[in-house]
Amino acid sequence: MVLFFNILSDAFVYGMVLFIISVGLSLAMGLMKVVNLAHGAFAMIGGYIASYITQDQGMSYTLAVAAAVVGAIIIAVPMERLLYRRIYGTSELTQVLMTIGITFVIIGVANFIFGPTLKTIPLPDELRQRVDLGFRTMSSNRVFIAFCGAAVAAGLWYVIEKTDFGIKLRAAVENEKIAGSLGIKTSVIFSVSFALATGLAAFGGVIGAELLPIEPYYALTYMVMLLVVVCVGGAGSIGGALAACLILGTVDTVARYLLPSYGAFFFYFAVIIIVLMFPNGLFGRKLNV
Amino acid sequence: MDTLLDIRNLKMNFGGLKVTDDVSLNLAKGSRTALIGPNGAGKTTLINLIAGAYRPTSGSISLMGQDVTGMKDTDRVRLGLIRSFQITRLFPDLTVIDHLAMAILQREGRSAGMFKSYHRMPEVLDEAMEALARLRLDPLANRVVAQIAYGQQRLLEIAIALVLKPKVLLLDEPAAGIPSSDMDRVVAALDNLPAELAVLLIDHDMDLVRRFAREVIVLSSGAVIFRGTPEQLGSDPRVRSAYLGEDA
Amino acid sequence: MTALSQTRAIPATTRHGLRDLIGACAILAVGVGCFFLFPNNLSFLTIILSISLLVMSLDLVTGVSGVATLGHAFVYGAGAYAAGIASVNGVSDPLLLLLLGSLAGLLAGVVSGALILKGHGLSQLVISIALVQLASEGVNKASFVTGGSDGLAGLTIDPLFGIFEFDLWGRTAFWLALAVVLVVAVLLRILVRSPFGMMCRGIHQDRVRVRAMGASVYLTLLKMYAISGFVGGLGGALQAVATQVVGLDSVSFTTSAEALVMLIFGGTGHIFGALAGTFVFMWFEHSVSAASPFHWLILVGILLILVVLFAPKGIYGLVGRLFQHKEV
Repeated sequence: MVLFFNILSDAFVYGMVLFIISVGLSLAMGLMKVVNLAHGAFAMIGGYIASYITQDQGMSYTLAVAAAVVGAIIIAVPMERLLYRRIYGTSELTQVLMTIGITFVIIGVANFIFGPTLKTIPLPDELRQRVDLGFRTMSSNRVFIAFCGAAVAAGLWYVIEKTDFGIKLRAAVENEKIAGSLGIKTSVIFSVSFALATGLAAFGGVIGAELLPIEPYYALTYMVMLLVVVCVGGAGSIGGALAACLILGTVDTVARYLLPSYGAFFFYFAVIIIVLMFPNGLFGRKLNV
Repeated sequence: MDTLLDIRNLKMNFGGLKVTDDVSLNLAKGSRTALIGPNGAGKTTLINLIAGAYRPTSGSISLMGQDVTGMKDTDRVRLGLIRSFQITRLFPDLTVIDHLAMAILQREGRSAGMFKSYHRMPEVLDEAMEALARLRLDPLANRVVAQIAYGQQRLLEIAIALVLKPKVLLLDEPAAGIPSSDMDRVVAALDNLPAELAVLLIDHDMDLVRRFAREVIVLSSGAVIFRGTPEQLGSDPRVRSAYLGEDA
Repeated sequence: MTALSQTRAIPATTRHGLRDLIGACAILAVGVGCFFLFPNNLSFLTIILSISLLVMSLDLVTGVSGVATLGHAFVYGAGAYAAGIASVNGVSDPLLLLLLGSLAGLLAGVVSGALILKGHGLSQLVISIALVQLASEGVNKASFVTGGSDGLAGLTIDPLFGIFEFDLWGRTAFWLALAVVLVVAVLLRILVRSPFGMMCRGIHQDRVRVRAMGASVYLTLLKMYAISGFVGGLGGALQAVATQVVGLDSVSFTTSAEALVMLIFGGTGHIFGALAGTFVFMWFEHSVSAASPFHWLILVGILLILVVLFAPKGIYGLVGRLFQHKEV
């Protein structure tokens, strides 16, 4: 029973990290219809920046998180304007190649500047305590991650359901042309959404570094996982992304606890079954919460 | 009886919307039927249902006495139920004659051949060139489709449909987008269709419909509201109200 | 003017035959040239030739038929491991090993095709990735037959035709690989022009039209996947026979993605493009990545972006455009 709750709580935290990183990708794929393999690379940029600020400059964790998010956005927005915009509406193959190319460049440049080593992001004392959850103790960092995941989900729900931007975003997802003809500036919506997506990726990359370590090939290592999550959840669906992250997080964690040496095998087997059963994702195509 | 296509009580719902509402119609050997109606009346949906691209919510479709309601679209093609498309669907990078050769080879069950190119099959080449010549497309035979005019692409659509040797032919606005200078080619092609072929034609061009059809069916909001000869059409109050929005 | 009248006068078949002959001669010439220019790099050249079979095989499903996949190393690995395992278990005839590898590739092609073709767009990509990862994990865990992460090494291979030993310099392996690639390239050119190949090209451009002609898209593509698997498996087996080593990287996501990149560099839809792309990519990788893997990544990344933006038809397309300008 204790094991059961241990697995479940670990799976939940892991799922939340995946969610924070991948929900932006899901939004972008639903909105811009672009298969962005470089999404994990933006999480990696965030991780590298945060590591530089805390490790090399000795500044605070909070500042590192903020700098990571802002830095990733500053790098991402011109890329959206100059590169991504050229591949909206093209074939998946074209999108895959362009975004793999971007991933390679980011990996190469990041390691050229910061050196190809495992990057650590030291946690502040507050996140290094143990918290008693009743059935087990957990590091306060993991509790913090779970809290952040819930906050991101709630925040996105609020933005999409309740704000003016959300209405425009939903209209653009539904039908870009009609939204355009209603005077909604879809190109601005695209840029803002892309910035939001990369910002979330960087945020997730930094706070999730304990579970998904920031290493030189981070962008490639988790590329597949992020794609899988979006595919299973259904592009553009926040609820779908959340469900997919929790399900896949659980599958992965359970497999690693119970079948430690066959974990990956079991995981990919499950992915194939789920994708074949729901080729459009658990929650279809449209942007719904 | 000589009924080739028999459709009974066909219904199709998209969400809560009735796109096809209890449509029954049959086409006999040699029939020339036009299907008309205002935009959004569900004409193309009906063609898609008959061809097997969509599954009806209820009702039945039979082809030459065989129930095909649940049959795959490709199997219907093999039985001789051929359609053309409202918006041209061609292979932009292939040549005009490639299209016809592909259709001929597929019709004859030879499309799985992996060695000999059709260029070395004189009978296929001859038939393809002949089919092109009938629509006066033969000078374009070796041109890539992306490089020929839209009107010519429309004619190629018709040529492909014909070369598949249909028994029942569904033509979805074959004349749409064809410049008036080329209209005589379409008219001639329609006039020269094999006599025993059953044809269902959708078009907005009333001159073409009057010239071609012996029977006209008017569809409005998914339902058949008129069935009769072209001559009876103009005087029917329901048709006028459907098109002009007048109260009947 | 003269070009136009010539086009009319010469039947299409002769023109195609001539072009294939030139292509085959070019492959042969480059091969023979490499043999004499780089006698110390023959085993590396043989690996290039093996991988080029994987890239040609990928071209059949991606370039010709339009199925995007990031898991095509599955068929390559199947061929490599089938040949390797057979060799460990006493089969030592090189040609028999190639045949076994090809058949294993064919089987892997059918399995991956059957699953991948069920998906569309993103789900297709994800299935293809999951499949190659699954295969890779499976091979890793089944170490009692596959050697796990150590792979299989020191395979014993009989002399080719009982005469030509697989020598230390890799001469026999090189000539065998060159001959296999030459034959496969010519056969695939014929396949792509055949009625079946034309149907696959049609599916790439408009599936709905193909269905309206009465052809089954799924079955046609599945057949193409089987052929593609055979060719890819042959490539894997060739590498196993030539290097006498089979490793986990033969069935990996990385190899799959690299094969796709090579194909794009060379140009999709043209078998010779696939060959050129493999050769250029691997040669550059060999020289640049030895200096620094990250410089190599930056270079490849930038090249990929440039190709997508400015030369979507790859090297083959660029060269083709050059010649077209001359003709006009």
